[in-house]
Amino acid sequence: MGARRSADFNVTRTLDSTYVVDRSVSGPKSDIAVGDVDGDGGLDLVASGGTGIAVWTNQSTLWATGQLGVPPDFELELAWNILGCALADINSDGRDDLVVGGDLGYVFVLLANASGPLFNTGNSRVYQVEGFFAVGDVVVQDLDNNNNPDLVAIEQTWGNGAVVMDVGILPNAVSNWAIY
Amino acid sequence: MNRIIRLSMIALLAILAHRQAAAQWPVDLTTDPGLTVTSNQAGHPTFPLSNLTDKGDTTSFSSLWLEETANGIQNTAEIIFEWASPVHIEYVEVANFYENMRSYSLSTWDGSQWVTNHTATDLPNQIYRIDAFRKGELNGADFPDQTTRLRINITAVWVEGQGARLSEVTVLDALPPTPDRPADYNLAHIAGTSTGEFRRINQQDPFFDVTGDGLVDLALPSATGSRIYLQAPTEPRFAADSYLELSKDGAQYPSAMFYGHLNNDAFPDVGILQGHTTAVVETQIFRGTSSGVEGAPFIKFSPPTSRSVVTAHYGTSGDVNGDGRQEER
Repeated sequence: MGARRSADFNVTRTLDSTYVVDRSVSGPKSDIAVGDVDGDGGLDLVASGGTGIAVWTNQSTLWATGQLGVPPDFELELAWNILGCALADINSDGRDDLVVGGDLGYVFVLLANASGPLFNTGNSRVYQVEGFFAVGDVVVQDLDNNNNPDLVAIEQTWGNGAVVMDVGILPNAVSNWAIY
Repeated sequence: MNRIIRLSMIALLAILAHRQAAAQWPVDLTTDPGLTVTSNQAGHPTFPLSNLTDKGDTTSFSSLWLEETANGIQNTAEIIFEWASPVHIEYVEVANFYENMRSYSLSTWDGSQWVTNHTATDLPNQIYRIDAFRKGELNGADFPDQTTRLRINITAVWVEGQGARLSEVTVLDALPPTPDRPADYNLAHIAGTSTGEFRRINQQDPFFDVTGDGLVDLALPSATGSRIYLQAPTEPRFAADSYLELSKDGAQYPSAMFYGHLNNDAFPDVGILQGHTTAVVETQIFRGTSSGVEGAPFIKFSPPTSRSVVTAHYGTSGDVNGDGRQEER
């Protein structure tokens, strides 16, 4: 987990995590992140795993004590086995974007939408670490102090690491511009 | 002006191409409610056939399918995926477990017989290996436009006596999205030095500058402890052979790491947790100094013996009691 804006919370107190996670349509979840995905100033919860993500954005039920079995407010099926996740505002629009790692070194960056569904595959970027059987965890952190977030992908169980610098820059456009 | 127009057109084409690719995002056919999965090896009671499509962590026993062992260990199995209605297959992914399948074939049903699409022989013996099979890249007949059945026929395993076993099977109706960009730096450890136990970092902005040069360095786990990859001020920022080595004590592999100012001396420290189902959990802390992090542990401690044999995959640190020093959790 690598949420840039995190808060202390007690999962066992506010969530029956087993029940909530297992009812996800995209399978069991293996990681969580906390951030503001809809830009309303409140802390939202994202769980990744199985083949998709589940998102809780209704703070009145999400963080209230005594709430059990709170269903997710949004789910997205990625059709890909995924594991770890992190939230960070990658495109500096005030909404935290979601980064998830999965099989065969794939990392999906899902940009939070201003309207419509919170996340959709059409507003995403895909990265891949050659040779990793799976990316088990992702960390988003500015490593070179240039105010652009960088991505560290960590191979599941093995602990091998790989880095994508300036993950917010769309690479295809940049490389084409450089040619001309 | 021409240059600006060309740049605009290129940017537009890039966006359109990206959206076009996104429109073809695949569907996982193993989530189809009309799918049934059968096998001549029904499955071990603890590791049933349903685990093949449960979408669980492919490195976890909880997601493992193992052949029925009541009839002796066969090391072979035939698994058939059958859909109620014809499906279009472009991609099949087979996730192995700790013990790998050595040889197997993929076949599809043409309405009257099985047609072999790919025969994989002597695949690499790599723990948790994931095999991907793409339409157009098969060594048999290509996947048909429509079929109702897919068969995996396991003929040989790498570790006989462990039985035929797989973690997960994924079947997609379109190819996976093409990556926009590879990693800039792949710091994969030298073969044999990875942990095999590590799961996840649980800290916000975990990495820090260990050498005092103002650049964030990467402390990653290795089989022998940790390697701190030192960031250079210019490209290449990271290199697989530029690191500090932290050598732990003990035989267990690191299962978690944590980072922070544990002794409040202005130099960041690194912690390693060694947790395993059959061994005592031990935490070892490597002390930060003005010249980097010391290579040998400064502190080692374990929980009480009665609580010390657990699987521990997660650790973090934070100032719990407000004394300015971070505690390990």
